[in-house]
Amino acid sequence: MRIVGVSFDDIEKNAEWAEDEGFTFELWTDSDENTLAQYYGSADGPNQTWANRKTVLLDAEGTLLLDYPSVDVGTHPGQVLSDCQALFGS
Amino acid sequence: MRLTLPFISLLGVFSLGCSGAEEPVDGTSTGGSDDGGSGDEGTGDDGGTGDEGTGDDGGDDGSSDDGGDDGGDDDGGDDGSTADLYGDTPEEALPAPDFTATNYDGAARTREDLLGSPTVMWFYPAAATSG
Repeated sequence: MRIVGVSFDDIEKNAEWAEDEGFTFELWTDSDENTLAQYYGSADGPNQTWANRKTVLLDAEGTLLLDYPSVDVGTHPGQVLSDCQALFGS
Repeated sequence: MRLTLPFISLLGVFSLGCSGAEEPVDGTSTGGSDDGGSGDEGTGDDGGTGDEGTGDDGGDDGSSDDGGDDGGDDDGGDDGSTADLYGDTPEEALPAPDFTATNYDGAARTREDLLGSPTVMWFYPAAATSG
């Protein structure tokens, strides 16, 4: 299982955050055109200055399995974990 | 900063949780128990050779055909688990796009970096922001 955070922050800001928190997963800076965020519905266009919170779950071929269009920060991680266990639990 | 805590816990539990099966075991055991019942019946008729009877009669007729395919995979895996999922299932298959992103260490990341294992990709507005 791979976990990736995506935002429009520059790499320095993401690096500082990752170091401060000890993240062991990657934080990606999206392309200048917000390619990933637009593709997965986290941004309306290339000029949006921040990504909207949301999560997508992709299979090992990169195909979208599940979409989480809105995120409650308190409960969302547990929901994703539950789905992960249901789909990949073995 | 508060945002980070749930995802840290998520990461930690993922490494444990995704290797510990719950759902598939339920689906398999459901199909298996049904088959086992018919297998036992066959065993009884044959007269005492429990293992042999189960392998021949129950195994072929029950486990492989009925339980393994129909019960375990199709019914339990697709219908059952999808209904219980929190995320929305896409109406159409959506492959990963071509893109170039940059990891915080400066390394380029492309579509190929999303292949080989499942990915949880979470979008956030800015580093170190709260919910």
